[in-house]
Amino acid sequence: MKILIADDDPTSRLLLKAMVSKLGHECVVAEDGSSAWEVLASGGIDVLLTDWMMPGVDGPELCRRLRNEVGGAYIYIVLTTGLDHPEDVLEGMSAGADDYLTKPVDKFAVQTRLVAAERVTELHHQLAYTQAQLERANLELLEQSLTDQLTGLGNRRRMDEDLDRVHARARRLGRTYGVAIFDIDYFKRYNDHYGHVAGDGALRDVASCIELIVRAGECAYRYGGEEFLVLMPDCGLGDVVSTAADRIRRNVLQAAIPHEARPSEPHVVTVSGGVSCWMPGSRLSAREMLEEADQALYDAKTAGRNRISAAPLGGPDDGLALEVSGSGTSARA
Amino acid sequence: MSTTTDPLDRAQIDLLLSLDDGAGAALAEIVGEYRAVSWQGRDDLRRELREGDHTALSHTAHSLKGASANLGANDLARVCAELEMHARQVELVGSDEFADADALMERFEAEFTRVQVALMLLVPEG
Repeated sequence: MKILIADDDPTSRLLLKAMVSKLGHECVVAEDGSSAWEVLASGGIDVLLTDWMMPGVDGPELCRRLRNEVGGAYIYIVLTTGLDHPEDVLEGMSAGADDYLTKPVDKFAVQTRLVAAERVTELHHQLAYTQAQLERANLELLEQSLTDQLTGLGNRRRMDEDLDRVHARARRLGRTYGVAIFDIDYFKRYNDHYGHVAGDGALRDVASCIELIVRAGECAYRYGGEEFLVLMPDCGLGDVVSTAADRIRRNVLQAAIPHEARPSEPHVVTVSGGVSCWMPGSRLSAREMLEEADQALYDAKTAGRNRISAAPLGGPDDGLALEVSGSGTSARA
Repeated sequence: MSTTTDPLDRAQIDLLLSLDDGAGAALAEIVGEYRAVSWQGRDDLRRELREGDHTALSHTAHSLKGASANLGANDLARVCAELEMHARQVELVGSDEFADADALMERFEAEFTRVQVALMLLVPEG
């Protein structure tokens, strides 16, 4: 162990140092409380053997500081005190000391204190290690509980949490955000034709297509069986959401994942998408934003699939329809 | 204080001797430090008593008590304890009706000399 001896009397320092070194421990000395505190704060000390009376920062003050201020590994504290002030012992233990030694110190008394110190610091090390492991495991579990196992995207639960946060922030700060929901076209036929294992593969492929296009600050989730959702905080104007969603649609199309069972051209996997955009002043709730996007998705499906459809800007009350770019996007009236 | 007993407790000296491999290096080092500390302490005690600085006196006596006990100079440690107590009482009640400071200091000086002589025999000053 690494042991710090704090004592203003040089003979006591030498005596303790010789005893501790002889027992095979590494030894550091400090001539007063303040320099002891500096050594302690720089770390690496297992045991502090400190005198009760020292000029400046005394033994009990050192104990209190150590227990209140230093994070990290546990330091075992032994106070050395004269036999003539037994009441000091109680005060010292209350201040945070683990044990005490009476002066002049006895070799065997020092040895027994260090045996106890070794056991206790070892226990504290184990405790800290176990705690760190538990914290890590908890984080991993939390991460897992928010991740879709098949695609590695965020799951529905994470989406719910993120959406609530983004929605609250947009309301508070007067920002915008967009929601885009995608659904793989004719996915049931894909599964029936290629089997479920291949179906899982297609889900993963589409997830990758989406993830590749998603920009910094945006997040993609697996929303349902073959549904995906992209959340776009601070998206700006409504048509930006549609444009971004259409880029995702095109990326899936260009991935050219064969879909022989698709009843119409192209015979590759495609997605339809519905978007909604929240503007400052909108009365829509986060749930209603999802419903809007879902309704737009339905429109895209009925309009022929492989296209993006947008909900009216700012919600149904505004009556503002959004006309969108040529090839596959349309606005819901 | 009896003058027939050894001013240095043999058991404590044996302990100090046992701290290295018998060559006495640890003992010599501690004795060396003690010499410096104790001579300085004696000068401080004299001055503090003369100036009536009982706060400083109690601190000096306390330090010297601990250092002397480390060397096994138990009688000297006891006189230091009495000096410390005396200084504290004066600090507390403002007078010393319980002890005669001059008599205490006289005992201190006598014991101090015995200890220094014993240390000289134990570890010749080099």
